[in-house]
Amino acid sequence: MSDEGSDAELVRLARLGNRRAFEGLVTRHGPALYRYGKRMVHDDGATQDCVQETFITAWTSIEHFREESSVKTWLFGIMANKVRREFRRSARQVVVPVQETDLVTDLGPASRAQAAGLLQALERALRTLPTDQRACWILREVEGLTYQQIAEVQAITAGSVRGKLSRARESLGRKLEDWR
Amino acid sequence: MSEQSPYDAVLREAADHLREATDTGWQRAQQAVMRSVLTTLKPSQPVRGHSEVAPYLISSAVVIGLLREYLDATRELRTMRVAVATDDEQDLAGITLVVSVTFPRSVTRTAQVARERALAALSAALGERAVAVPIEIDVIVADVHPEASL
Repeated sequence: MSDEGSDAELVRLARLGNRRAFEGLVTRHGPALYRYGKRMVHDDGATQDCVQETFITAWTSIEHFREESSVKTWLFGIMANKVRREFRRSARQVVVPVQETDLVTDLGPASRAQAAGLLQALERALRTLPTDQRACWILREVEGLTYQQIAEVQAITAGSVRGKLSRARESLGRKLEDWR
Repeated sequence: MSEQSPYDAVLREAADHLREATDTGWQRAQQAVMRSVLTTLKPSQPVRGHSEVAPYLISSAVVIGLLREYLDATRELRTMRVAVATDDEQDLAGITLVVSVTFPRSVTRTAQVARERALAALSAALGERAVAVPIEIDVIVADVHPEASL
């Protein structure tokens, strides 16, 4: 049985209709889902729609969540489907340059400028990756999912995840060469 | 990440920065997302209640929420899932309670407490008349948890 405030406890309460508990899941996982969505669809409005629909789907189907995967993997799985639907709905991908102010960090001004520069370089490099490689890299390196969890989210095999990650790392690394 | 790659350090640093940052877009969207989600009704079924004046229908989601409150108010158990079944007339036919029992409390005693609390909750939600007829209450003990974790 889980501790108070854990994902499992929030799911237990939300499943029994407790909206405040579900609010806790939105607060906890919303930033990561948004971060992933924004790097996939490159549009704030579309990202918000995907995140919103992800949580609505989770709220209305939480009775069916069987705890065979983690809450994070479950939510990312729903989100990945919403992103795929967004790709189908609109082939266009609006390229919006990342501004320093698009991201909020706790760093000081000098470190923040350095970090912002690296982040912008990363964002540009990510955009050049095929979407499946980009998704695998973000889920592994930024969100910390295991190969098996990414395979579940992306509906591919763990071996395929390994291959896509390897190519993504090589490609991103070459594009960030100047930052080494 | 492969230790042989010359890009490991810079990629790790970039990933760390991205993970530690919060998109301003999320900060702007959060309230709207929350509002939209929390005003979405969960799928539920109507259950017939009986006041002294007339019958009424109440959402099974409300009944489940009330059952959870009544059951979790006791230290003997923690509710994990609740299912509500109705007949063709939308009258309550039975409920299934999946619970975790507080260790080292008696499982038999806890099951009895669960039934008593459930009947009290159902009486509050549906009226005394609705629970005057026998209602099938299945209690499934699916887990145990230590007293200290409450």
